[in-house]
Amino acid sequence: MGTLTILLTSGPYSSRHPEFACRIADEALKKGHKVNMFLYMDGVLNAKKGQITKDSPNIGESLAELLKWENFKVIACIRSAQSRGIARGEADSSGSYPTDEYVAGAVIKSLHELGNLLKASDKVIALTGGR
Amino acid sequence: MDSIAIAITSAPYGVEGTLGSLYLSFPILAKKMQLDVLLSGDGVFCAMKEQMSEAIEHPAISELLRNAILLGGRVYVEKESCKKRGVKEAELLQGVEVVEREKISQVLVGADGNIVF
Repeated sequence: MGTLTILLTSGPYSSRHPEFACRIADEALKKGHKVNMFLYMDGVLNAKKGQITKDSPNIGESLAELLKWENFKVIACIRSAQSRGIARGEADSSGSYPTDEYVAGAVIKSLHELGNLLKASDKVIALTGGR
Repeated sequence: MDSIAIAITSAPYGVEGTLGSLYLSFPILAKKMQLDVLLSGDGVFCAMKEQMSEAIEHPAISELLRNAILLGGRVYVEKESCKKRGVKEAELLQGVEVVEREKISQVLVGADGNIVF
């Protein structure tokens, strides 16, 4: 079993990167790997609940479904989340910042969490840009 | 994973990705991983010294690069991109290394993980 970290920087529908990220995560989880998805910059918008889509896969629902896997984590960057009005307040004892905007299981933490994830990973897939 | 290469191809100001990519340097260095920053295309402007970004209320990208170098990161600037843009080596931050395109590829291949902005 390996550990994969996916870095995602684009918002849910401005490119197909979030859809690819979910597909990659799904395949890796089915193969028995641990998967972390780190949401950065506009990428933090992907975990918002209440997304309504008609013509494209619903990224919020896809993440919520993937979060049913024990080996899957979604972590968003606090700086990116605060600047987009998603996170408020101070971190709790686990380092998570409160939000009522995210699908269950997605958390918001310091960017330093990405260092921890990368250090513990065997592979990183960076889906950046994507305009 | 013990080493990460971050490649930046965008100019220092005007897009969030440049700032965001350099902010990634610090958690990587804090975990004692080797960090290589590769500047290519318009990304070479990030390494120009004497950036004065106060007027646009933006952190100076050159200061972030300088701090990354002080913390042990290596910064490579692609020579051909500099030449095309009229950027001279004397205009660049102390501590960066101006290299041929092949070196950029070698660093990317040699790192455990690549993040390309």
